[in-house]
Amino acid sequence: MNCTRRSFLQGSLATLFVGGLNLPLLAASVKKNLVIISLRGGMDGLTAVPVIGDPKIKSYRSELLLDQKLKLNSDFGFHPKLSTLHNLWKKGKASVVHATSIPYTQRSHFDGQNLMETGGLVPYREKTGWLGRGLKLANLDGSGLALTLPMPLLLRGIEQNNNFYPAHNTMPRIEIVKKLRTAYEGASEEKLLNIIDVIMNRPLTMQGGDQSLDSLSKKASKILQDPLGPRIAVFDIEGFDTHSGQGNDEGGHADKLEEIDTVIKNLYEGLGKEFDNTLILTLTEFGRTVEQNGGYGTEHGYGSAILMAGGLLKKSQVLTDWPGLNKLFEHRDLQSTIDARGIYASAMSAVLDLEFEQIKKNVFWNSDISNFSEQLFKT
Amino acid sequence: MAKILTGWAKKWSKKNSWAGPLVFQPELHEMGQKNILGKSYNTKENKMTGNKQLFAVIKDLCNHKSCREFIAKKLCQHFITDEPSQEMIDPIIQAWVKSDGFLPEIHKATMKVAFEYGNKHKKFLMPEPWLIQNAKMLNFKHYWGPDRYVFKPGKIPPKRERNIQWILEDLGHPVFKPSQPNGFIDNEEEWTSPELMIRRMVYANQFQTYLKNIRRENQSTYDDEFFENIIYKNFSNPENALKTVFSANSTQNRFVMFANMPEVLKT
Repeated sequence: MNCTRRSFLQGSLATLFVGGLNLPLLAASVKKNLVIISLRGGMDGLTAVPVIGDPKIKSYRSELLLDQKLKLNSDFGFHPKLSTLHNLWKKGKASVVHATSIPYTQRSHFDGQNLMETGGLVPYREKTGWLGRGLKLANLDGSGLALTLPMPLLLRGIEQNNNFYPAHNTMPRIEIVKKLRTAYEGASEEKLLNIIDVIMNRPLTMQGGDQSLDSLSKKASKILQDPLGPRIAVFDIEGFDTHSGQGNDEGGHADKLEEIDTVIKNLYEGLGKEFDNTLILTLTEFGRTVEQNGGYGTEHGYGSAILMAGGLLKKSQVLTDWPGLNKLFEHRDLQSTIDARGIYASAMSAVLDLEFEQIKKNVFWNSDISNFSEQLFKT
Repeated sequence: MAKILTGWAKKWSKKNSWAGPLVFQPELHEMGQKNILGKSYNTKENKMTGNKQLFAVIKDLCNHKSCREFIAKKLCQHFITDEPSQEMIDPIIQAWVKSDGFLPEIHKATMKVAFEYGNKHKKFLMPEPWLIQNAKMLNFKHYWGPDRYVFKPGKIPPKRERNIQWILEDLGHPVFKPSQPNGFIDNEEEWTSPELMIRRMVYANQFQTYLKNIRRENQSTYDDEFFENIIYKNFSNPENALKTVFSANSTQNRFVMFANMPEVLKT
C-alpha cells in the first residue's frame, strides 16, 4: 500500500473532523419520546387517585369507595388496578397532578374532547391540536404517530404525521405500491406521493399485530426505540363515561384503569433503557361528580387527575393545590385549581427541548398558564 | 332552543322498547317565553302551543341568512374544494333565494358550479363515495343495495345486510358512528393519513375475494376488454388511465391500480 505523509494526514484529519463534528451532535440528539393516552369519556380522578383520610368522601359515594389503595403518601393513593404505575412510583418514575382540568365547565363530551385536543377555549373554533402546533414549532415534521384510525385532532397542524392501526386483510405486494407511486408521479400528485412514500418507508415494526391496546402498545414501544423513528405516540382509550355501575376495586372504571396500566406496563417493559427518555401523559376532557348517582355511577364533572410516568419526571410526587371536598365546584364537582394546559405545555417544553414561554406564546396564544417544568420534569 | 325542544321524545312502551315515533308530550314541555336569535316565541301577546313553537323556530332558522350561506359553503366543500371562494358559493345562494329554498333548484345550481370549478380543484373523496363510485363503475354487487334491505325494527339485521357497514368501518368511515355530533369532517386532511390510504389498497386487494359472493349472473369476465370498456365510458383521459391499470398484469392487481388511481381517488 502506498502511504504518503500527505494521504495519511488527509485521512486522519478527515476522521478528526468528522469525529469532532459528530460529538456535539450526538450529545444534543438524545431522542426524547412523548406518549399521550387520551382517556375519552371523562376519567374519575377520585377513583384513579383516591384521597386518603378525608371523611367527607364517605358521605358522597359510599358504594364507590375503594377497599384497597396503593398508598402514595399520607394524602393520596392509587387505584389497585394501577399496579405498574405504583411500581414506577417507588422507582421515582411516576407522578400525578390532581384537581386539574382544561378550563371547560360545560360538561359535554364533544366540546370537552375538542378542547382537550385543540387547547382552545371555544369549542370547534380551532382546527389544529396543541401537540401538532408544538411539533411544528419544534420543526419535527413526520415524528408524530397515532395508534388510532382517524388521525386525532391533537396531532393536526403539521404537514406530515403517521398513523398505525393494523387492517384485517393483506396489503397488495410492494411492486404494485411502487407502480401506484409511478402513477402518482406521472400525474404530479404531490400530496399522494408524500403519503405513499411514508407507506413504503414503513419499518417492519409497523406491520402486523392486531387492534388491541395490548398489541398496539407493544408495537409502539418497538417503534419508539428506533432512533430515527417517531417521537410521539398517541393512544385512545374510550369508555370512561360510567354513568352507572362505576364500581370500586372492580367494575367499569376499574377495567378502564387496568387498560391504562397495560399500556404503561408494555411501554415500560418494551422501551427498556429508552424509558428513561420517555414521558407518558394522560388527557381527559373532564372529571366526574363527587357524589354517586342512583345507578351507582357518576355524572359529568370538572376537576380530574393527570397520570404521568417515565424517566423524564424529576421525582415521584402528587402535584396539587388541593381544594378539598368541602367547597365543591357548583356544589357537585371537584374544583380544578391547575389549568391542565400548563402541564401539557410544560411536558412539551421538557420533551421537545423548547422554552416554555415560546410554547405559551405560539401554541397556547399567550393564555394565562403556569410553568411546571422545574417542578415536574428533568430539564 | 333547548327549552323549545323539551317535551319531544320517543314514545316508550313495554311492547316496543327499541325504536318508535317521536311524539310531543305537553306535560314535559318547559313553559314561558323563549328567545332565539333575537326573536321571541310564545310571548304574552302571541301564545303558541309547544309543538307549534318548534315548527315556527325551524321555519325561521331555515330562512335565516346564515343558514343559506352555511349550506351553500358545505355543498361547495363537498363537491369542489376544502376552501371554496365566494364566487362558487354565490350562485347557490342566489338559486336558494330565487326559488325560496326549492331543493332541485339548489342542487342544479350546485352541479353547475361543480362542473365549472371541478377541473381546477380536484377534491379527494371520502371513503363512502369512493366505494360507491368503484362499485358503480365496476358493476360490483358484493353488498346489497337498498332494494334488497328488509328493515325489521327490534331485529338485528342479517350478516349480508351488514357487510357494507363492516367494509366502511375498515375503510375508516363507519357511517353510523361519527365521533362528533356534527358528522364526519369533509376535508382532505381528514382522509389522507397513511393508514387510511393503506385501508383503501387493502380493500381493493380483496375485490377478487368479494367476487365469490356475487351471484354468477352478475359477474363479468375481467379481461382487458372489461377494463377498456369501463375506462372509455367513465374517464376524460382514458389513455392515461388505461396505461396505469395495464401496468399491472394480474386481475387482482389491476383492481388495486384502478381503485387507487388519482382519477378515482379524486372527483
